[in-house]
Amino acid sequence: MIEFYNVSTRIREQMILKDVTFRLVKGEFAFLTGPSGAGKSTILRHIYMDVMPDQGMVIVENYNSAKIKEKEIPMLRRKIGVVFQDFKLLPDRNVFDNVAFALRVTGVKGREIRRRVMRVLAEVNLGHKRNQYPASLSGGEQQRVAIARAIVNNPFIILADEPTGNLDAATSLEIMQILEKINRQGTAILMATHSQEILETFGHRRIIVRDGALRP
Amino acid sequence: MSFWFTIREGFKGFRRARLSTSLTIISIFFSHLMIGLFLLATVNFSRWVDTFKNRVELEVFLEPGADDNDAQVLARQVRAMPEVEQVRYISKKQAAERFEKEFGRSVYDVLQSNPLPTSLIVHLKPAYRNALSIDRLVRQLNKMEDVDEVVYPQRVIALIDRYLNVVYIGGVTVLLLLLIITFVLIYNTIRLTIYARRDIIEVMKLVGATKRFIKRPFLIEGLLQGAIGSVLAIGAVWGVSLLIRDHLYSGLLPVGTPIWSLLVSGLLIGYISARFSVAKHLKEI
Repeated sequence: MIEFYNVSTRIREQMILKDVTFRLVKGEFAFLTGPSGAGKSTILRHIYMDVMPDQGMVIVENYNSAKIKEKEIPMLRRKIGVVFQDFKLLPDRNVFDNVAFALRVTGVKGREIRRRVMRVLAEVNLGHKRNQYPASLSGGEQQRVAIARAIVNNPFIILADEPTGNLDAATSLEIMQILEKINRQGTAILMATHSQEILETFGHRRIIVRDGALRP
Repeated sequence: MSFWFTIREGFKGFRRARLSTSLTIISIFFSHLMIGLFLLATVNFSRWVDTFKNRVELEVFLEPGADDNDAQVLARQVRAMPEVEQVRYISKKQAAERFEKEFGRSVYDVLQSNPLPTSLIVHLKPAYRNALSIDRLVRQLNKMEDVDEVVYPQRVIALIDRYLNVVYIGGVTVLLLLLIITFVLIYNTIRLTIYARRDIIEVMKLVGATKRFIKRPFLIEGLLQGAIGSVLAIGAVWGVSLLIRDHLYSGLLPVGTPIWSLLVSGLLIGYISARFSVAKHLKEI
């Protein structure tokens, strides 16, 4: 489902990834771990094709980084949910509109938007806060909104880049439980983290990156 | 849904970069006000020039030996020329009558005989009432049999043509400069809105919005700026024409339908500069 074949990438003359090869199967939950600056985020960006490899190739479902056309990239991204450490919510619209945004920009109709947004907000237990603005929510709640936005398009995978990096231990656990629940429903999850606590609590496969290369 | 979403986002761009949007609208307004006033001046100036040129006539004097018959033949030839609208034949007798009307005394009282030559008064079609065409025509006439001399207000016509050219070229240059300035201002405003809305563009790209979809609100924003600025300018030109007509010159002609070219120009410049700006700056996010 996701395959990296000998991927090497330079960004601004700097070698970021060196000969990275791995595979993620359908419905899998895996951690991407390693020190800051090791290349975890770059690996995630390759999957939603924000960065293209200089050598090797990345295959995501039916899309191949060596062959994909620029106008196909938005279609690929509609099948992938992305969650970040800093949430990336839009401060000028409320919870409902932040989640609906992902559907509106892809041309989904009004009634369908309402149905799907309410469903995913219920899934992250935020239905009652749908009219609030991001600034009035706690960090954990903001991350739940971001997760709701990531899953509203029914993606086959969630890419989470340090989703608990800004949160305390209790809230991190809460976010992890939501991700676990989503994973149990069949969505694959690839989560970048360097939290030992999370790695130890949740015994998923670890893909370890150091200096741009994978460690066994 | 997606249509209204785009329109709404276009308007949001206004609020995000309020100062630069206002400055841009003001500059579109001023440049288009200038174009409008230029149009107003042109409409009135060309009507004045037309009225003057309408009165321009060539007087073709015939050789002293030419008789009535020769004059009729020549008149027919001249009338067949493409530049000529009308030819009036002035016989020796009519010339004498004209002399008397102008000078108050009969030519026979002054000179005891009538030396005044027969002549043709030639009126030109509007398209040929300019120095170049007249010169060419006069050279042709001079070559014709029985023609002695062609008289017309050569200096005045050349002068009017020269000044008209200077005014048009000067005006068009100033207008082009104004449009370039407007282009740069809109280009820059859109750049600022793009940067002010970096977060939303980033999220759009992330959730799979197409490039066209991301661009659209900015193009709408450019169009709106162009429309607002130029409609204000149309209103102002209309107001200025009313003021001039009521207080300065009641014969002023309004610009009429060409005034809507301001709206077209506003929309075009808004769209084109936004397009250029989006093409350049969206990539940088």
